[in-house]
Amino acid sequence: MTGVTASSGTGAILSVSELRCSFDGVNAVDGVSFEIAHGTTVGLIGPNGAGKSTVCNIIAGTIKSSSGHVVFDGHDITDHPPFRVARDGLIRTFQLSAEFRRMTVLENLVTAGQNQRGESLTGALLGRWYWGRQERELVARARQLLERVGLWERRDDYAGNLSGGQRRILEILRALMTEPTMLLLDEPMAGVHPDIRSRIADQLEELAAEGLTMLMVEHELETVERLCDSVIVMAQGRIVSIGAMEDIWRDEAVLDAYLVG
Amino acid sequence: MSSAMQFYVSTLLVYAGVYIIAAWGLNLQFGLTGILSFAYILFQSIGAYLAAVFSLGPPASRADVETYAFGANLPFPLPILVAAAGGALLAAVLGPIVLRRLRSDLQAITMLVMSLIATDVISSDQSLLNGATGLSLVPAPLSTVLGLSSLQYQWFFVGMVAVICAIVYFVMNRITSSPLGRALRTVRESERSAAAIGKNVFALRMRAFIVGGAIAAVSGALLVLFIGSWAPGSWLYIETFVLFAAVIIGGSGNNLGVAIGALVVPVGSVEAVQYLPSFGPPGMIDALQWVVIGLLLLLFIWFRPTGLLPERRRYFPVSDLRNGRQAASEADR
Amino acid sequence: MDLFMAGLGFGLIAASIMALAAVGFTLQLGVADIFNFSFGAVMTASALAGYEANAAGLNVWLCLPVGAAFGAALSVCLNRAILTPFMHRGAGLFGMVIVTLGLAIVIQNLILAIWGPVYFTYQVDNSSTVRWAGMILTTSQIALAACSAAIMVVLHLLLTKTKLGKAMRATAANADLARTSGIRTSRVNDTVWALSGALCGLGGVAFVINTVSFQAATGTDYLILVVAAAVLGGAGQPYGAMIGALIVGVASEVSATVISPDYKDVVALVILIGVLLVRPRGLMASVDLVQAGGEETIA
Repeated sequence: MTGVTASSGTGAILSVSELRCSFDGVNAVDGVSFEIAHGTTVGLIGPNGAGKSTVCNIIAGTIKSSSGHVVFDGHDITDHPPFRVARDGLIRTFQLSAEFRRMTVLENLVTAGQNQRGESLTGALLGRWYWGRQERELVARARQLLERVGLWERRDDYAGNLSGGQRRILEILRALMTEPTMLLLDEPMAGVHPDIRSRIADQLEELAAEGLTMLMVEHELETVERLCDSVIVMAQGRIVSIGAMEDIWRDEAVLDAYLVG
Repeated sequence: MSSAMQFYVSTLLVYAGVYIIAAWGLNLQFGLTGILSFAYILFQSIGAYLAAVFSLGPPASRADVETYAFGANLPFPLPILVAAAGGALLAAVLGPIVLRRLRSDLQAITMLVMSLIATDVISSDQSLLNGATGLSLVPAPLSTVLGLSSLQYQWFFVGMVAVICAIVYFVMNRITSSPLGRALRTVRESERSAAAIGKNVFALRMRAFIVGGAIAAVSGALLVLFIGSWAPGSWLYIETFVLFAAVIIGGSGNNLGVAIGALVVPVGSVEAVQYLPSFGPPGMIDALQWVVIGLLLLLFIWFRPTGLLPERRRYFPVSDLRNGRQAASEADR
Repeated sequence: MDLFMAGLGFGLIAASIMALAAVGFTLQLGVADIFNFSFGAVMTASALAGYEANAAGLNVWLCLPVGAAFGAALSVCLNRAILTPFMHRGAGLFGMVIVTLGLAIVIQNLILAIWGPVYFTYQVDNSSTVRWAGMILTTSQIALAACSAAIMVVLHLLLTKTKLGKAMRATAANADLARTSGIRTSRVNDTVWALSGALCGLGGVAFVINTVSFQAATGTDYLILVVAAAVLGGAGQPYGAMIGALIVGVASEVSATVISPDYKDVVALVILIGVLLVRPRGLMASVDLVQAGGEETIA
């Protein structure tokens, strides 16, 4: 199973078709189509300015497309606002991690729980008896996640005081707290110390093994090679090649794209 | 205490209560949610005007004294409730215009501009709310029913403000310590991250904006019922700045800190000046007072940006953590 | 029609004066990324410097360069001593709005405390009235407009023909990109504060030469219109600011003569809010003033 196809198929969780996006007349994304199968991990690679992050941002709803469609889990989510895409179960992370700095590690996770009773105004005014039970369940889930990565002891620290690598892990855990169907990782290794990278990769590998679908934009080819079932190569706003990692480098077009930039 | 002293102290207490309530509303909008609510004084003002016209009676009954577009003679707690509803409504109308798409500094300037437009329009249109002269002789609530001496009435009013303070504190406390308060803080900390975990940033901002607007309106209503008059000069945009200074100096995000900030900045600085021997040309002390408030704010942002009482770190109660372990081990089984 | 033309005449004068300040403001917003609420207070301070020079016997027209020099010096000092340190200390976009607002209140009230709540009046030579196509203008107003136009031309040449000007525009358009392209943005920054400060000072003095008198709050009150012009044109866009000034100046003066002077500012401000709603980036956008989050709805 390669997990990714250029044409229509069944079993796809995310399907992107003929996506286009232009800024000031420049086509940043120029007719991109692909599908991602349930339970696979796919890498999105390519030289700088290839339009990878733009594709990622369009899927997540942070940038509006000029034309094309994004279908996730059977729903057309093209140009939906980011929070709706997230509520549908497609959760993204950012190149520069944006944790809630002046909130504790545990708060960062617990707040990511979906459909919280205490987030409505009446719920909040009714008080703890109304939402306390759900709160305990969320804390329990957060605890499991934090204990897995050894961050439980730091639960009461402000997230802003964590190291870069820890913050990246926290961001991934926060995504997991929402019980996502799929993760969209925008350069998960960017700005992370090389020693920590393998720890993050371990985490992601574990998630992949549990059957979580992931699409990751990544420069670090070593990581992509280790984690991804298949890769999509982009250059100048278009897809150059799609396939398994080991085949991709035999593709003339891919070498051209990387050499020409 | 001599009766003059009692008058002084009770007046001060009413002002303190009013400013504390106003600062709490701003704390909800700015301290917790991060909205640069530069039109905040409008909410206080609409509350004051509504409480005034709904205490004064129908416009025709006061035609010889002042002109205003609408009014009624509502029994006591109603003018305050109408004011609160008006503040909430104003927030519900302004919010979608301002909070939806603009970058935070443009949100601030847009609200500041709205504040100025409102001052201009209300001052120039005599028929709406008596123009630049403003409304006056607003009857004190229940004063005829109670039949108290004026000094006793002062203390009655202090009691009323204290009760309303307690109610607003209860609301603020429930919100800040709930998942809602936590979600509002995620919006303040990182809007895009909040959206990325499914928080509807606009809806959350609106919630804070509307509740904060209602709270501000209540403070305005209390103020006008106490002093009996309200005019465009009472709600210049600079009053918003005073409340921002109170929130930041007291401790943005901390209800108790913000209350202290309200005592230090608006109440303290105004009252402290009264005890200084007057010096310099007229107006000089007022100007220096503003200089002091401005400098104090800059010094705080530099040396202690978290304020006198910083926002509390939220620890989860032990019961959550303990039950968490049980739930976790059950889940493992 | 006569009324309209008279209003148009005043509007063009107001616009030419406003353009000076609006271009200065937009440069700070674009290049330094600071929404500088103290700009108005610096305008008042510069006008005051002009007033002192004028009172000491200097011809009122020579007060323009005095105000420009004072505005430039004060702006560079404020930036170096207060704004940049606060930025380095981590005050964001958000915090800087409050810092500059605090600064504005301090400066304005220092002036009030030292000079008192008085109206300062410039000694302007008696000028004759010129009538043309229904417009009634004084010679000094025409001279002001000519000065402003000349300054705009010089500014245009500075921005397009010199290396420094190009660096400035590049920084305004995209500071990160400019930095990676090898532009020394810190040096650009100092120049921008000097240049925008000079424009601020010029704007302040020119405004007062037109209105003759001012007081401590004049600059801050006027700032709102200047901001409206700058934001209308698109933050960081000098040419946009000129167009914005034209719209705001003409709209406010025409409505003042045609409708009522009471609503002079209201009309300009309503236009601003209208434009922000329809086109939040302003007429000529470069800096991204729209939230990344996009549109949301109440769930």
